[in-house]
Amino acid sequence: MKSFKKSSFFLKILRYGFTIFIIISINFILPRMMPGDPLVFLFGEEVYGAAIRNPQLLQSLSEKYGLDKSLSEQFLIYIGNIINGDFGQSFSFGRSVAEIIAERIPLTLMLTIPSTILSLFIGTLLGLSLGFNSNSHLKRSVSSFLIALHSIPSYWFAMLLLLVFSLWLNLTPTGGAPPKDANIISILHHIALPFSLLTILNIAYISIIIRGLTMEIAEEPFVMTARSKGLSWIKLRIRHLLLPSLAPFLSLAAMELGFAFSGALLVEIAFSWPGIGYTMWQAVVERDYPLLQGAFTAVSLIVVLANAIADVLSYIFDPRIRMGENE
Amino acid sequence: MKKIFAAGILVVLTLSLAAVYFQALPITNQPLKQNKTLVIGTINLVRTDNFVKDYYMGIFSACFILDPLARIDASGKVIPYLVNWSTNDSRVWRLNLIANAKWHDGKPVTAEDIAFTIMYLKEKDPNYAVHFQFVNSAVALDNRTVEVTLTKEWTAFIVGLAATRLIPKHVWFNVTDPSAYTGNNRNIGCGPFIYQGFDSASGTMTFIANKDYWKGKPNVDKVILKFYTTTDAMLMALKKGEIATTYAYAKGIDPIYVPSLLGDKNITIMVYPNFGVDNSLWFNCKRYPYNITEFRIAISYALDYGDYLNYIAAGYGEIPTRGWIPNCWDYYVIKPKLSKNSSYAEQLLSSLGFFDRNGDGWRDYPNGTSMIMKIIARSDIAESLRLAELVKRDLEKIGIRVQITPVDVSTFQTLTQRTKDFDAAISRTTFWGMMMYAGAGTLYFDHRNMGWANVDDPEYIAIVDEILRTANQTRVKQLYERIQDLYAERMYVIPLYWGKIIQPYRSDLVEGISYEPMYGILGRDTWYSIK
Repeated sequence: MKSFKKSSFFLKILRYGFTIFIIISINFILPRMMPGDPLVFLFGEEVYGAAIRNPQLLQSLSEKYGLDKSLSEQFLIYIGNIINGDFGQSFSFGRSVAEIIAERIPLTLMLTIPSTILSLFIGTLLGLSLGFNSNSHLKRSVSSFLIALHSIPSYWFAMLLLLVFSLWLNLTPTGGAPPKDANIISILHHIALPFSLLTILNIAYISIIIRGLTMEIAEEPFVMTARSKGLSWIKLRIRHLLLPSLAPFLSLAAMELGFAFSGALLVEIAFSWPGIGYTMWQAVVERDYPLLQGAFTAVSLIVVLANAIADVLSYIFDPRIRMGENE
Repeated sequence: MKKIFAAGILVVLTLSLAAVYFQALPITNQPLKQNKTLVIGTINLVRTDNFVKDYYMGIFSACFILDPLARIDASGKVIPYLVNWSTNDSRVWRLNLIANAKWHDGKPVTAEDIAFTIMYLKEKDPNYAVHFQFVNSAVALDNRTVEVTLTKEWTAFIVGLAATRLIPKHVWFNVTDPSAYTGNNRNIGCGPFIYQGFDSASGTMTFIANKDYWKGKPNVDKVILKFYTTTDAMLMALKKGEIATTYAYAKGIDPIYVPSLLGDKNITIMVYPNFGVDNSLWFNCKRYPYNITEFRIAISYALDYGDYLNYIAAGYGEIPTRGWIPNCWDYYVIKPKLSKNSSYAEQLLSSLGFFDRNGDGWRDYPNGTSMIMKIIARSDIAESLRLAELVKRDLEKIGIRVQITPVDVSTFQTLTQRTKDFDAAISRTTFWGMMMYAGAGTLYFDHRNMGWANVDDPEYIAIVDEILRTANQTRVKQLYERIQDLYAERMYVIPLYWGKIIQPYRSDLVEGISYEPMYGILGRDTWYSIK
């Protein structure tokens, strides 16, 4: 049995390793499949045309940025560099990609981690409540409202929040992250709107999912039995509804972190918040291949890691998974 | 459920209390005369504060830190600034340092710095490799005179001087790769402001006034640039008073925002002539059937210019003439205004053999195959896409099927300049683009240069070549007039409207902003006129 567990663990590691390799490869191929030339941003729109008709200049720049090499050569160099922890130099920033990511990721995590935790907490409670006895008018109305909330384009919602809280009520700034030397009040002042937006959207999404899971489990005989025994509201939800749905919940939490990053992209653009999403957007626009590759890889690794942690936690907390494996 | 709602109310109450607290935070939007700090919002995002590496840092360096050798006046003419110049043959040029300028570290600016700047930037900065492509040598003859020798006669050399940002030799002479240079002295210049710093997290860049500037200390002590990713957020900041005005290189704000700004009593809208052509329909003149002059002329009669002016420019502009060049240029020649005449357009197309041959309601090529015009428009410029839809509407009315492809700026420049794989495109031109190469927008036409229009018409090429080697300004003006004749007769490009630069500012925070065609409100005059 032990050897079976070991091999299963090894298989999982292998699966994650393969996933990471695929991600890294796609991150290399995708930017290069996009039309457009990274040199456009090195010159500006008025000079690019003349510059590309100067073969010497073009050649020297292509050599400088490694664009003169074949795709396979570029790929091998890229893989070799990643193994050495080197993501290369950004075309547009002129600095090491790792340095830029290290500077920008904390700004995104500052938004996404608390937002994910809070929205998981509130969204779960709300979803559990809505999924149990879900036929009441109030619960159906709240569920419809949450679906409507989830359908609102985040950019439009961001503009609405800016209009109300920044322009009309003058409570928050119109954009930007806190300055480097900001105190806690200034940090809260800057983070309030992007954090609220991400959290509200995540709560809507999570509560819809949890509501669905709860509705399914609420019909199970063991829940009926628990109810007939007169179990309290909290005990019933936690012991008989939340725990059985723990495995899908943990997967959801891991996925949510991924969504938080992709959702943060639009939120960061709307609030001029220079996190990793905003940086990826800049890199896409400017065809900054090394930055694009580095940023995508960093985000992908975080999401894969979150999924791995969710797998381990599911194994620990869910006896069905452990038993399934033993069988 | 009740408990959840109770928790929700608690959260709302907590947020309300926090809001009351935040409201008590100090607000920085005070009039310029009180704290002498000017905050300007911009959507021209800087990624790194290295002016060689970053396009917009280059623009802001020229506006604040680094003085140009020559500058552009309000009428669009190149005039002396740090230097004046003379030449007998347009090949050997003498530049004379006329300003008693000092670098921000206190050292004097010399002819040696000028000669170094020209040769160093030509070698190290890809942009100047183009601006100074015909420069053979630049040598300081004494402390105030530089002799520049070109490889050929070239009158447009002085245009390059207006783009030249003078850099100190004592800082840069040992730097082999300026785009990677991170030394603390990388932003030392001799301009009206001293660089203070860039906070990429909060999106602010700060400059303080140079009290030793050779033209005198600017009227403002400090300028803070605040970067926004969206125009919507930037204009909210303007309405709120977080910023005193806005800036976008070579353009103002999109006219669709004007009505909402006009409702604010503290916001004033300035309107300036646009030396660039706001939006044109560019044909790929080497691709069939856009290489047929009559075909292009037919298209020009199908378009509703009044609608473009009203719906896209919100009336801020005018219907252009067939001569393309906007009427603010001093060499502008009056040509007939463009107007819609659909029946004439249809008649012309049919006479060329472009009519519906298979009865599907769309015009076909003379050989019977289906015709579809593919127009590319920049997705980062909202008005280009809206305009493309209107053009599509007008062309479909005369039976030309149109497909619009929105592309980002990198793809647009690659398709129009490198691969030339497009039928037609919608885009604007900048003042600087109009000045470059042989001037009169030739940069955008000539297939040997940027050449969106891909023009290889021998008559046109001959005129461009003559402008490039002619020193006599009277003759150059004649050639500019002739080039407008060609624009009108051959319609390589159709101007869709001549827009205006719309520049909003808060009159309770700042007054006396000046404007110049190259750097807009960030030109040198503003620093001495603002109050």
